[in-house]
Amino acid sequence: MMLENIAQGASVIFTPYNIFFCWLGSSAGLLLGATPGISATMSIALLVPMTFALSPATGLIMLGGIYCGAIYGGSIASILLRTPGTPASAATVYDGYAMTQKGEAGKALGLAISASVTGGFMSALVLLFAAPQVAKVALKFRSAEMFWLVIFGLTIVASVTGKSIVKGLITALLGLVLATIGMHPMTGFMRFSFGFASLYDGIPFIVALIGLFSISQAMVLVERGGEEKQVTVPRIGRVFPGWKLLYKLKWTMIRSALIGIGIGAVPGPGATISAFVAYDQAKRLSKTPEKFGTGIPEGVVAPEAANNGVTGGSLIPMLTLGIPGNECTAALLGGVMIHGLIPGPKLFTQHAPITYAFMLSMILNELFYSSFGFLFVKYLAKMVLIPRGILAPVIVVLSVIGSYAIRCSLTDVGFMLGMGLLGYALRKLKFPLVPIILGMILGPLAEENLARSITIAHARGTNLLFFFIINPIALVFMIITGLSLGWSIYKRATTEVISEEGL
Amino acid sequence: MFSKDRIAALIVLSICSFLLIVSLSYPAEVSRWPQALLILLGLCSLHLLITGGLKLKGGDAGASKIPKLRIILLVGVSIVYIICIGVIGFVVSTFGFLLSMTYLLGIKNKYYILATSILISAFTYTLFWHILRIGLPRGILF
Repeated sequence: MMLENIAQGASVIFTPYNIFFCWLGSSAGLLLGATPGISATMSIALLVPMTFALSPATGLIMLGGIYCGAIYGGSIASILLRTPGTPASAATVYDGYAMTQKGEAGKALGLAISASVTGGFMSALVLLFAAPQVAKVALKFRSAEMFWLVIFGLTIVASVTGKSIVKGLITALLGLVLATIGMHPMTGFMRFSFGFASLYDGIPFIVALIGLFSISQAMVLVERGGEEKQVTVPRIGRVFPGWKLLYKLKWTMIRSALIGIGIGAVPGPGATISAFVAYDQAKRLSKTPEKFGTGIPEGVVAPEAANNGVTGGSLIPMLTLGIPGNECTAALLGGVMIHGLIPGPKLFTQHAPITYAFMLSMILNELFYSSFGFLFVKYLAKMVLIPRGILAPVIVVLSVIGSYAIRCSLTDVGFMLGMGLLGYALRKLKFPLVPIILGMILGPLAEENLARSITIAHARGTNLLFFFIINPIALVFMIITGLSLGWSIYKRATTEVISEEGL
Repeated sequence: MFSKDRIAALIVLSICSFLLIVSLSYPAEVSRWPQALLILLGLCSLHLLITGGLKLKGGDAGASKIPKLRIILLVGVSIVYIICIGVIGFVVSTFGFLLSMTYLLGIKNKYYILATSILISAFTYTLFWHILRIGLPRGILF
């Protein structure tokens, strides 16, 4: 059955049209990712409108390309300028930039590409073979299990992102409240619309995403002024690091890729955390840990294999359960939903050819962005020269196009700007933005499943809490939610005490 | 002492109270979920109000100096731009927005500003309207 689905997916992806859009997505993602100040999430948010006119399969294939390309693209500025193009490449700065200072910029860039491809390729394979199995389990989930799965996903993301659990919970709840605006999913009753027709369908998720991530980032960019300081791109030289060195680094790459896949599959920590964990692991297991930070190849390949390993891993909960684990997959989820596909186990049955084509495209993406990277990295490096004074207005223009294109409504553009202001204020107050987006996505799912659980519990003449407890999977999610929240609160409290004592 | 965190908590609390009052007029089956969320949100905000947020190394959690003028400029010109695209049309408004915004943000080279504004307006219009056939705001001009 699985092989049959893979064959069907291959017949969808291997057409000149879809291959072209796969290449286009990888290249566009690579270009945006290489631009300092534009994250992978922002790249997806800004380019989602380009997929509106495409078929669901082609749109999804292109979005996957943007995701993979942008994650790798971030490493270019990290290595050359000590300015991570995306937060996921922050750990690459230590040894990548040190190698550039030693005159080995080309070698560092080549190692980053090779490690990214290893991580991305392994994670794409894991996605292809593991996701259908998870989907089979997910098919058994009913309303009680789904409700607690959503609550689990939300609380874990709220507690691991940002520095304060309370702030994480506030933004998650804010997202859930925003999701209640508009028509009630079951009765059609209008809530919190205050008579505005534009609010009858609620605030479109993509509009909120573009505002929160793109507009707030444009505002952050202009904080530092528009004209760049004179930046010079260092001499790059030969890019390919050589087979011998790559063979020597194989275990570091494989181990780091596995770390990335594992971390990516868990909701909450994303590519950034996985890159730091892999860097730390590589340092611990190294015979010469003191050399880390001085410009050694292990310090470049570990974070790069891990952050690209996240790409496939993080798509497992998103595709199978509809739970995006981080902001990138949340943005991707929005793109998937725009094309009328509802993530969850049914993607693997009702829309199997599209889903499998998308998963296969993740493998193809690795080929595209790596070849593009190896051939054009010297030119991609020039992206770091774009002044913020140009970048910020262009981001605004693309955000306006994206938010308008969804319903051809200027009111949506106004909502987008409003969400941008909210996002900027939240950033300044150190509130994490990811939970608000997850709350907006998962809110309707949670409400619908809670309402169903209440109806079933009433029909059975039992109490709602009892109904949850007698469902073993729901009970497990309840316990894990409580434990993870309790553990996070305890850990933060003890860290705070230590930090205060330290002061 | 009102820290930025406390002000934020107060704002969230006020919004929660307002929405909670509004939701009281809704039927029980549609108001239960938002009411539960609003109560939880209120409790979290109350916690933030009492504790004043997390004290981080280096001072107030929310403390950071914001260069207000540039932010106000970006938001103000963006609002004018959004109004203009519905009246004048996408291409001319985008050209005007890029021209004024890049200049206001301190790009000094006038030829660079002009070339960028023309190229980006033309490129986005051609790509989204003609190639991808995605709707763009129409006004008096195109």
